[in-house]
Amino acid sequence: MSLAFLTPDAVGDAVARSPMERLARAAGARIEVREGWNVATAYGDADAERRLLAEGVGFADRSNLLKLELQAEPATLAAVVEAASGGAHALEPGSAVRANGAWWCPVTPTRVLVLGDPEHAARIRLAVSDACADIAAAAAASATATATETVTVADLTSGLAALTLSGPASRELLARFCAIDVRPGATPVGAFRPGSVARTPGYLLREGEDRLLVLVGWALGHYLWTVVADAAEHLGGGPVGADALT
Amino acid sequence: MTRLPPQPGERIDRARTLTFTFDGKPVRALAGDTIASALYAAGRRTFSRSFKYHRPRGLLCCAGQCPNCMVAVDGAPGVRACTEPVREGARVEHMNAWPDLERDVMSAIDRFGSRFTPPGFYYRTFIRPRRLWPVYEWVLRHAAGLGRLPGPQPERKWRTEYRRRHADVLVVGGGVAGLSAAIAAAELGADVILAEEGPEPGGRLLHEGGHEQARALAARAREAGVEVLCSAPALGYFDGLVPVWQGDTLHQVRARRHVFATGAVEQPLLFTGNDVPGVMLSGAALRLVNLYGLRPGQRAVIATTSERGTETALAINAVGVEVLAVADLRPAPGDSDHRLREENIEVLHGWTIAEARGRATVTGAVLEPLLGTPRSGSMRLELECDLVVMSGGESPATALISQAGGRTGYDPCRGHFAITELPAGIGAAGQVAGRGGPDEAAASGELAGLEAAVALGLGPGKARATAIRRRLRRPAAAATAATAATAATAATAATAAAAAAEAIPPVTATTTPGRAFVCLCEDVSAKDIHRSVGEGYDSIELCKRFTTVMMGPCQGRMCQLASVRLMAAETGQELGEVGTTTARPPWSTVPMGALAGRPIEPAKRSSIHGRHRDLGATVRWAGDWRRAYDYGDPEGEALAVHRAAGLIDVSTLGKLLVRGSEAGEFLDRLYPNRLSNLKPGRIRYGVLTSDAGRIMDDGTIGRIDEHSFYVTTTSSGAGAVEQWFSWWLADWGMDVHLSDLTQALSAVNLAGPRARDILSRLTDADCSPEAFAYLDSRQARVAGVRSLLMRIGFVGELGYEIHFPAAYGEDVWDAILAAGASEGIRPFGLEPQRILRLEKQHIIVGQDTDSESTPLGAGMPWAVKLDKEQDFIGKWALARASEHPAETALVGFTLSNGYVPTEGSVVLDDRGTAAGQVTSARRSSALDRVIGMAWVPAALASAGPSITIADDGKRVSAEVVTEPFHDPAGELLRS
Amino acid sequence: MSFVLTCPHCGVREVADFAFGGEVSKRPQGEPSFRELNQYNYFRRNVAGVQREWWYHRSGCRSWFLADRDTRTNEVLRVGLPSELGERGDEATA
Repeated sequence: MSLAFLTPDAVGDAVARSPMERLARAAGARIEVREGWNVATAYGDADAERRLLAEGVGFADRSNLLKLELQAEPATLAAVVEAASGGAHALEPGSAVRANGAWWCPVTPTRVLVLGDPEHAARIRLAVSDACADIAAAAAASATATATETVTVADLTSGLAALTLSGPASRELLARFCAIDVRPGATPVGAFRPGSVARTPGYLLREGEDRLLVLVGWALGHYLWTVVADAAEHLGGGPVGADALT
Repeated sequence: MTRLPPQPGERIDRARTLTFTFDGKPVRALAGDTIASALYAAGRRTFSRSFKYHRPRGLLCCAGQCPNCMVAVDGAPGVRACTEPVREGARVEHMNAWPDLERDVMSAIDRFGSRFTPPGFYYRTFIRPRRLWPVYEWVLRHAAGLGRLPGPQPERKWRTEYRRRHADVLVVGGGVAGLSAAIAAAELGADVILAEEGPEPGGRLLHEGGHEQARALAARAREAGVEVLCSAPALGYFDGLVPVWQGDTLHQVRARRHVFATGAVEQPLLFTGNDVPGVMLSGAALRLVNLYGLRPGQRAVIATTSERGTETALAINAVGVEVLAVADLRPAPGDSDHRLREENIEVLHGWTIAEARGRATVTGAVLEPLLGTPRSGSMRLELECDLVVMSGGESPATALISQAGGRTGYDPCRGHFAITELPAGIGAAGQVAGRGGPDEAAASGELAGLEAAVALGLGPGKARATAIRRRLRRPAAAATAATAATAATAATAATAAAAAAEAIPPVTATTTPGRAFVCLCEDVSAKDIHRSVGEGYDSIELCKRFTTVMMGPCQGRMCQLASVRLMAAETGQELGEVGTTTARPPWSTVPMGALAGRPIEPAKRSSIHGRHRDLGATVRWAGDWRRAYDYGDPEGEALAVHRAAGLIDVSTLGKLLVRGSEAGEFLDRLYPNRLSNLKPGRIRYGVLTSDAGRIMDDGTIGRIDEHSFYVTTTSSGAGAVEQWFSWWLADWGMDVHLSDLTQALSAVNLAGPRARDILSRLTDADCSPEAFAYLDSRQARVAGVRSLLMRIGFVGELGYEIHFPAAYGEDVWDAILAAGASEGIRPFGLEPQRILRLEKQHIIVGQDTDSESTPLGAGMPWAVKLDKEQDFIGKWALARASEHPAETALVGFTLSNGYVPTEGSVVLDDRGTAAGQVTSARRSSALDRVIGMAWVPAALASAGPSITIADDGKRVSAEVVTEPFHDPAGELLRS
Repeated sequence: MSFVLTCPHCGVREVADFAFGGEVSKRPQGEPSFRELNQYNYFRRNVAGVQREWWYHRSGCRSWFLADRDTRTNEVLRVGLPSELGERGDEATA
């Protein structure tokens, strides 16, 4: 795999860190290594975190999510996603599909962003590369294939920082720094919205009734945390650990 | 002063008291009071001193429209006391007066200096001598102004919240029309936000006896799901985005439809002394009585043009104010006439007010028949009073509609400017749309709400809308008089208005000397407008700029109509010809801080940023990145790279994956050199040019495999290059995929004679010069992390760029520094990198080049392959440029006397004229001299000649050097 | 300027989400004359009315698309990908 250097992969002492790690530590996070990542699992008081999520709003660093960018012509792309996610889906930009431990988010007809659970990252990567290999083999075997059509899988796991905003005030929190319309009618669960977040390019995924996933460039992760923490403080919200989300 | 007995519909809660301070003294208030109503209850009549003449000013509108009651609350200036609710413990202070409101020394200007201070006086008077301007400015700034800003605060004491809101319908204005519109739309299922500038929805109903209806409507709106924002003025209309300022929150509302029910602003009359405290609009008198249980005065004189004044006379008479006379401009009795007579209130038809007497408060009023009527001149009535209530008609608040693209025109029947054209998607209802009475306003509101909902596909509402439309089409019950409102024709106007509900006020009724103020915000009098026309500023827009009329906090609410009337009279034009000034945001006063945004800049930080801070880096902005500029010793850091090794974070470099069966062809079309023949594992430098042949960016292109290229760009050009590539891709439609990896990968440059040894300790890859040569790229683990390694050298020593997933930034950085510790490795920042690259004469695009530079002129003809068969971007222009010798060239220079010329200094030719400029200059410790780069005349672009650099008066001589100062043959780089 | 623009992929967004790419112009084919080259590089029609122009959804899907916009009112009449609205040729609808 010639693009292997894109995938966070280390042997020895190196540990993968979120761009928000220092801020999370400063906010009192307990850090544990999970799947090779330093993960902020909790902030001390589990009850308080649960209360935030149930009554107000909490935000959690999810930068360790698997992120793959798939590019191909629409039909090929659909075939890759079908094989890798284990089901056929209509890929409509704006609507994400939840399957096989990941959100499959069509950005354009020729580009899909895959957001996978860290614990399933290896499996999903393998499923995608197997799907690509199968399709390439089928194309090579087919007599009708006239030109080689490229399928590109770029691992952007450390290209996008991610925060989950969760709780009844999550939409209000988002509205403090993002102009995207997240009224339920405009942005139902599963809606995927590329657009400006906190004045910088980003993606928004409505993961659940009261749960929004926000992604921006990795180098802006620190900034995003600062913005969200600033807005959340005013709404009585705060950071929560990965364990509180499950 | 004691309050009146409880009034029906009053806003105050007599059971609860609050205390605040005014100028340090405690003031008692009732819950529900505004600062102004509490101060009025405490006997205060002067609330501010005027902008220019420091005249005492009192309550005029009591509706947050005029500038008269602006105070500072808890240090924030410009707060309108008449709409600001009292908060327990609030610290309220007066503005623009010294030592206090009662004895303002600057009011001497009003008494003695006014003839020397006509409009424009400061432009003329304070021009000479020029060097004294800072003194003049200081004096003027302290004489004029509308309050003092708090000093610098270590921390912001207050913060603004920014809420992005979305709605189907935004209704601006919470009077009966706005509420009806909101209810109609919401009941059909629309998401509705209603923004009301006052503390409570209901509009005029609240103080004109309709409070029960108002509160019922508001309750119904909330039940229908309308989100009602109170004390929330809309600031403007920006292509569908309406900012609404509410306390400490700026709602940025994006709605699909808008209904403006912004009402109309009651207009003052123009007469001598019309600004003396105690002169107020009828709405103010009614609010004081009905909302706050306050008697506005003891003995009142009323001057009106409509029923508003006569109804007010009855209302204040009912609470014990002695009404001495009502000067009703209408020649014939109105509806309430008999009721006035029943109360023994004298009504003078065809009369108006000529003068209000008094300085600190009103002491008397002079009434006269309207100028030009048969009786005028012979009769006048002088009355002693402490209150003058005026009502000079209404001016629809069309500013927001105008900003949305609506048009207005002069309506001679109503004597004001009214909407003539509404843009698509915008509705208007109530008084702003000429629908005056409560019933008509409600119907027009309901219609606007229905129309908005129906346009959004909600319904059914069409039939109801049609019925209302039919009902509203009937002519209004009361006809208004059509007149040209100039003094000369006022007599005929008066006759024509015989049956009218409303008379159009004269330009000015004043025969008495003294000032009649058009513009209270900026202290512009009727005479000032006259002078302005005399000076030749005879259009309303020019007059505005010259006199500053309409430029103050009221934004023309109180003065636009009067100014237009004056201008029409002065120039002999019709009001419609004069027109209005452009309505600009903000329509309501808003603190600058509310528009500034949260003080958090979108900064990009490398994943190693925290470690740079740990190491004591000086952090500076570099484009949108925060970067380590140096670690305290730039020259020492640069020397370490020459002598041992250095490590710099270059994660900011743009990184693009260009992949596909046509990727090589794609790059051949974009770059002037050839890239399709690059072998996998090899790297080539490339410069990007525009079709004009100008340098846009530069960087390296490495081939990873048959179909994949790894392109790096400059740090500042990353975004533009990605845009540029994808633009051409969108056009050419090739089998190529782009992935932006800029932030996904961290990158460090390990450079220096010891770099190979250090790297070898961290990787299994064969780093020997044979196995890993200059311009090779390899994939290997570094410190256990899978990485892409590239042997390139911006800094001119043996060096490796190591690119790896950003999640490992700190770990890889730490591992390299640890591995190199015994070799004397040092981290180095941006500044030492700039010294090092200058020693190699490696250019920085944007620093050493500008928008006119071509690769040919910048000394890089080797990067342009005009013999390439492909048509590449910039080929034609570069081919033409190559046919003509360039006039200037980019060269290196050196100075031996230690002087570092400023970047941007001028290079002189032999005749002493400017012929080029210095683009970079640094002191190099390694070379022990000053080096730089400069654009010089082509004739001097060869080694040896000396050039003259002129830098801020100094002239220094420098020697041209055309090859790198350091390692000219590149032996170290290739070692 | 704060109108909204509809990205063909992402839907309605604030105009600040996008980068403006200027009016469409036709890149000369073959060997342009000096005049043609300068015309292409330095001259724009600058229509007061509807023109077809390039927009880039910088903050979103990062796609280029075409829009027919009235330069006087900022009303956007139509958006589409180059494949839908024709090539970037001189198809201005003024």
